[in-house]
Amino acid sequence: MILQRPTPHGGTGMADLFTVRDLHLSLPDLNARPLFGAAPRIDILKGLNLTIPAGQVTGIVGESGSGKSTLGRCLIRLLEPTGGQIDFDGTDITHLGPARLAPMRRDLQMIFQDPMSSLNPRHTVGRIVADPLRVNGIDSAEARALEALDRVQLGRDFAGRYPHQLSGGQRQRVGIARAIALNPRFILCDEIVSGLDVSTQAQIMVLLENLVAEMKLTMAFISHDLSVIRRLCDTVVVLRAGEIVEQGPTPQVFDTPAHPYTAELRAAIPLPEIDAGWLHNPA
Amino acid sequence: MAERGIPFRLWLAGGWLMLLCAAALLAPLIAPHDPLAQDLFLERLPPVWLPGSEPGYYLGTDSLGRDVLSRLVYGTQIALVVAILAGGAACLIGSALGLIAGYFGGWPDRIIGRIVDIWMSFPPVLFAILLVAVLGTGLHSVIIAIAVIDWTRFCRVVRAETMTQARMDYVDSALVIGRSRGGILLKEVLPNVLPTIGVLLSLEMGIAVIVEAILSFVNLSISSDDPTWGGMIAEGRTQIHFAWWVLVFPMIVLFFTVLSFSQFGEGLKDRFDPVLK
Amino acid sequence: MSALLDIQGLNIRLGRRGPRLLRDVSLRVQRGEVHGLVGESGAGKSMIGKTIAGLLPPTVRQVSGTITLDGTDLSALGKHKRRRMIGARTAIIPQDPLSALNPCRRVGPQVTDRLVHILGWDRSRAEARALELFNEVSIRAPERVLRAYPHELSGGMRQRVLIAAAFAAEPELIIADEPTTALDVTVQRQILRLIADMQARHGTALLFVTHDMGVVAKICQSVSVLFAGTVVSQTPVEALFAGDGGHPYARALIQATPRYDAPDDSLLPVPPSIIEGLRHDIAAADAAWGNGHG
Repeated sequence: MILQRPTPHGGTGMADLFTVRDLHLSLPDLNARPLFGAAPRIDILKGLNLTIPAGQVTGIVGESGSGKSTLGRCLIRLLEPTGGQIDFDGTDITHLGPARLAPMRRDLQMIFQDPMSSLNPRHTVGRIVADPLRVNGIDSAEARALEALDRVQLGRDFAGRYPHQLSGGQRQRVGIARAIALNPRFILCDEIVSGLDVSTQAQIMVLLENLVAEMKLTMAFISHDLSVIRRLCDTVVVLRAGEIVEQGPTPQVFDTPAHPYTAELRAAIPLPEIDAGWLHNPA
Repeated sequence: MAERGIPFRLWLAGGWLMLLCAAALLAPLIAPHDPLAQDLFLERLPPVWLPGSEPGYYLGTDSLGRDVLSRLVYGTQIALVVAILAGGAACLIGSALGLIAGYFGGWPDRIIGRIVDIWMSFPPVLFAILLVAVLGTGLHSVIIAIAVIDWTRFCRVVRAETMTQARMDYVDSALVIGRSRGGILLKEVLPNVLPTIGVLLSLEMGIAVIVEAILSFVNLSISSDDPTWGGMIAEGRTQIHFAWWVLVFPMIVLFFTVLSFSQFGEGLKDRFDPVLK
Repeated sequence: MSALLDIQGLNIRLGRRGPRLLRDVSLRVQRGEVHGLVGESGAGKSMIGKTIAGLLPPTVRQVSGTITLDGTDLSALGKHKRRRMIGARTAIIPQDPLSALNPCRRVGPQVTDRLVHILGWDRSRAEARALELFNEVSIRAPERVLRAYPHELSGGMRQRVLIAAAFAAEPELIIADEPTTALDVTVQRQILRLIADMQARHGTALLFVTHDMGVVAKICQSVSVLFAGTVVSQTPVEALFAGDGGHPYARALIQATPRYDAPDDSLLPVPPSIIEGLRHDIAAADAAWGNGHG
């Protein structure tokens, strides 16, 4: 499924929605701050190069501290990189200010890991889903919000409820509805199933798969769980300590990992099957 | 979620405050006597249920023969005006600065933080006395003094609460949907901080009543003829051995009022905050 | 030989008239085995561990049931005796290694406290024992760790310290409450390996609380699956993972677990008919139970 949009690069075949070149991000280390002068900086991202093809799901996998969430937040410009360049559909968005970003916001959406803290506890579900539409000046926000609730199979009577009245899976459906209501060109999913029970996780993954197919979504799917990535993603980027270890089409990366770290990550997953050797055999 | 009934303490606190409001608004109709009228033939009359009382002077009279009940009722007017104006002004200043400091961080936070630190290193009552001495006595200086001193209470708590809320993902998600920073502060963060502000405001109203009483007690509020609870307490203190009622009734009223304000805020939050249901 | 831990007909409810949190839970852990306790959030798996340890919050009441540890009925003991017995013969490996250690105290005394207070050892003997255990869980520079504060250690290191502490008094039963849930997969594998090694070497029985069927398959010998406070299935792991033993719900949980080697045959939602069946049975059981308990 490829969105046919003209791009300045005029690439043939698959167009890249994002092109990231030599992306760097460092933050001041406030714990190590000296009495006088600036705090030393910690490098979170150390020169990443990647592309995110339109109409595909790109998996970003890594352990804690790998910089996967930071990379994601740079893509939708919740964070400003300290070096390198991010092109979104041919536009350099690396250092755009709030005013220049504002018109692009509706195309850069995000679904959060913790649906409880990402939904304002004082707003009803209907308002949470309709607000993005209203803020972006779209007509009939309420009607579209209800449509989005239908799409995530929540049903319209959920519009009047508050987030704390929902189960974890229902909250995550609200988060998804809010993101897709705008019909954005890109959605970032940050560990969106890792806080859920396995049975709920399975339902949400099935829903996501259907939405990706129906709406031809372009997504970056951040997860620490290779198994979930394998199911949903077309391509995968493996991160470790702020650097890309390996990237490529998902089946290739999984079946013939080029880097030993990828193989180690894969081998560390406890598959639900009896395997007496798993605990003690090295990867 | 099932609707819950109104808790007992909210009834009690709300009832008392309603009674006070009614007394303040309808003082001329309720008060049996002129609160300023002196009558030396009627000095230090005990309350009606004690021997030696006069009918019509329900809570007795003070050393100048003024009716205690009438003075209490008119004192309510001053107490409530101070509570609402001083509490409200402190709330507005403190909350606005607290929201700004907590949400934007950086140099606004540092500047506001320093001011709060400096402010809070003055002993509040002495600060108030100093301010009133400079501004001159009178109701308006009492109100200004309380607002100028007590905004820091709001500022500190609101700042902390705002910082907590600003770290929540819903703030990021509002950025993602394209809200401006100011819009996020007013539409996303403020509603989540509002219950805290409400509780603080209610507490502050009680504190304002006390501070006004203290200032009256040291004779720095409005003119000593005007009926204020603090002034009555100050007067009653000197005659505690001959006429305890002059001291005790204003103290009881003051106690219930301050208690009601604090219980009212907490009770409202418990009852009506959708997040707690 | 009788089971090490034998729970029979355990009912726990919220307050005096509240809903049941555990419904007629019966559970056996044999000596020296690793018994998995699996369920989704709210199924009551941590509640069972808390009940054994006597750590139920005051709002929760045990209505009926017996807990027998090594032939001794715990409910028949007085509160004080029960505490001592639990403290001497069981231990806990907690989920969150950070909050389990007091940040204001050095690691050493926190590890040796139990040995000193419950077993009555003197400090130096307890410290020697702690160092021995630190070596066993491959902590480098154990003397330094003994004198360190918790925040000076990495997450994996803290978990090692807590594992060493759990085994230090040679308990017969260790309750491991989701000990690897907060860890990265590569660290999780090391910790699981460590727990399995220690368990085999010391012959300790383990009640391993987890939500991950993958972890169960790798470390447990038998498994109980919980749904809404009810044990729906109690089997050896081989039987369950062979695909024919145990309750359909337990097998559905395995099918719902994602697997990278079979992306299209995993992550299958639990069939609603199974859930409805379970809910129906529970409602019927609750009604019957409610007649006797008001």
